[in-house]
Amino acid sequence: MAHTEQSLIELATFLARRWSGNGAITVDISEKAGTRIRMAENRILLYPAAKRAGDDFARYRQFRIDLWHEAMKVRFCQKIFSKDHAFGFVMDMLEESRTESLGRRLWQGMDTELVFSYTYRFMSRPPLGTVYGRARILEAFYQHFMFGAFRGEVQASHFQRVLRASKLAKRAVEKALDEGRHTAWLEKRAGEIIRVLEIDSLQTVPVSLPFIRPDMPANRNDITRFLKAVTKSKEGDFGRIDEEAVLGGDSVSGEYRTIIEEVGKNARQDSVPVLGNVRVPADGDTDESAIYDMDLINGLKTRFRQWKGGYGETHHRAGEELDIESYIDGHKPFFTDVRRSIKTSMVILLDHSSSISGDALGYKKATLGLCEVLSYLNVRFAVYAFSTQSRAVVCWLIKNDQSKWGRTHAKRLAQVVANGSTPLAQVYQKMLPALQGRRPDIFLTLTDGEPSDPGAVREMIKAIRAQGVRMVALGLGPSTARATVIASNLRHLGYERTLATSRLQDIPRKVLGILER
Amino acid sequence: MVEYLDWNGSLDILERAHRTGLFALVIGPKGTGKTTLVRRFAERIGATMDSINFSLRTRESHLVGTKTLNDGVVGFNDGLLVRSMKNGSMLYLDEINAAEADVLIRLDESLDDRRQITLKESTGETVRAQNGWFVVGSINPLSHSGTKELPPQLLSRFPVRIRLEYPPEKIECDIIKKYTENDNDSDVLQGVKLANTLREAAAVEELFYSPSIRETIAYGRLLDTGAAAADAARMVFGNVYAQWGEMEYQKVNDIISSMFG
Repeated sequence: MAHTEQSLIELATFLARRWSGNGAITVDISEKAGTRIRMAENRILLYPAAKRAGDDFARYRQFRIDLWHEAMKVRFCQKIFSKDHAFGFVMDMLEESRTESLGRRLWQGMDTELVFSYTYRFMSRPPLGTVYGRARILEAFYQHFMFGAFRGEVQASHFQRVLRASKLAKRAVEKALDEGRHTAWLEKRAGEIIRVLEIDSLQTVPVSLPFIRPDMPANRNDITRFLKAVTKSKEGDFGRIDEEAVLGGDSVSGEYRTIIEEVGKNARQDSVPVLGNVRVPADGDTDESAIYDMDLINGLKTRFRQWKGGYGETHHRAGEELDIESYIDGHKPFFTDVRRSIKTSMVILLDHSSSISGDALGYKKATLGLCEVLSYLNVRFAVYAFSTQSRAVVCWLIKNDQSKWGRTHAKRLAQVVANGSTPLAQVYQKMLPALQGRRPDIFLTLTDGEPSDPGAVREMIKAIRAQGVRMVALGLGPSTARATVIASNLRHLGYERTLATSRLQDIPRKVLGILER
Repeated sequence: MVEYLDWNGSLDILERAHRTGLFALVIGPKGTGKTTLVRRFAERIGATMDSINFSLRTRESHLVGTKTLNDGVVGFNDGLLVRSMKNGSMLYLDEINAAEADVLIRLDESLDDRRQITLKESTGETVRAQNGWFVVGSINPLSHSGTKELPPQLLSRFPVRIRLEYPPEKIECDIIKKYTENDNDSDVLQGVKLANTLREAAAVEELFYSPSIRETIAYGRLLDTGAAAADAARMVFGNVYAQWGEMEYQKVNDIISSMFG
């Protein structure tokens, strides 16, 4: 599941940014929150593709169109309303209709997919007979406005009101489009619609309504029946609709196949067996976006860009390309360009003992920045962390050296809670089998204190060094003086190189400095 | 020859720089028409233009000159910089910030107020620039691969700076129309919108490549051949991303599908 989400989120974030024209948008998948926008956080939350109706491809197509609709709202809406009460629910319908029309002017290729999505949305709505209480008239209004038809029988006493409200809503949207009106203007119209429907604007909309039949296997006859109803209703807006094209979805089948392949690839890479006494943090609901410091990440990428794409010139005594000037001056006359790349492989161990907990957020941001830039530079690296849980030290695998750094790993990092002491020797012991299996060039330990078992650490370092691994430690301290003391004490434990820093933001730069040597 | 559309008054700025003897620097991403601008300016003032395109491979000798060895006698062939100074022509230094630091040092020497260079590689003579010698440089933003930050002292040798961005949609459509015959304005506009979307993504490094005006013109030309807009867009803008992997290609392909169907 995590892998599917990672690949989907990567693509969805890219698409949402391009569609909405907002480069800061992030996309997340949430079953609990459903599909909604958190404008202040520049965040779009989407109901998981896997929980939608139909086969896998149909689920992906619905997910994509939902994303497009939300992106259009980000692009054209001044504010976003909560769909949990009647007024917000009606506003969201009006805004969706308005922004869809505006969006279709630029994104002219969306029509077929929109019709497909409407078909499934209509199919997923509850029959009116199954909606009880005051929500029934609202549901009837939704179905008529969105799909131009009802599922089931509409109550006789509701019929005229729903028709009038639907007509009013359509006229309001058309007028908003013709006169270039925005959200604030539509808000007044939403009030009128609520009055026509004779409901309370604060009436709660049942949470189950939008996804009343998740996981529903779709039957071809049903799909065709609902598609015909939608086609009939939408032909006025969308022009002639090719039903075969709607069902085929050729324009997105290629990207869907790619996602499936990516998912398989990521799953294979991350399924390298976990050796030793190492655990993988469980997939939880932690919000990893809190530890993304985009300023720091982009700053680092700009700074180290040279390492990614640069070429260096080396001179030789023999070769194919001759530099006449060097020859006359008596230097090595032949030269070749060598692509600068970092071949060093690295294991990073992050101290998550209780002493770090005060600065845990800054620490996580800095270490995540480091991972992002290492991944950007195509460095092969693995990340481990240790903390204490239920009085026992646990060594966590954040990322192995085979997988590509992504949000799944960031989530794992965000989940490790700083706690306990610094029993480094025990941690090294737990990691030893993994280190023996995939011997890295450098083993870097980031710690803010001295280990509680220095004698044993000295022995372990000696054992790991004997395998040809360079042991490096980076001491973190609250001040330069303290950091230097920590680093010099670490040196006595047998590390080949020790560094010190008092600024968390300097961690990535210091670590990359190790690679440069 | 296709008429140059000076949409942001860059030719006038160059004119002023030339009149006052100040060197000019054109800054902008690739494919925004920097070279075309400079070439048109040279034609406008009737100057002979020498130009050099800098890269990692550009070395001091290309600028200053090379020692030669003929029948055991060491001679010296003037490089482009020296030749241009001696002739008083217009010199265009394209993508200066792609060059290595040692190459830039020699430029620094010749571009200061004295407008002279000492040929330490040859007999040590000093070459002074003829009156009317005019230099225009261009640099790509640092986000482009292979570019380096220009040292401040060299930057200060070009006190007139022209920022050349991608033109507004309407202007870019007008530029395309100068090179094409078709009158399908909406398809051309849609192509330009697509190019701008991809440029935005490349500017924040979400894509590895940013399409240039050259490519929007190519798209317009394919439309001339009767190609469908979606096909032309895939040929010019989409397929290139396949070199960075299937996922990268599909991202762009989705944008094309969203725009053209």
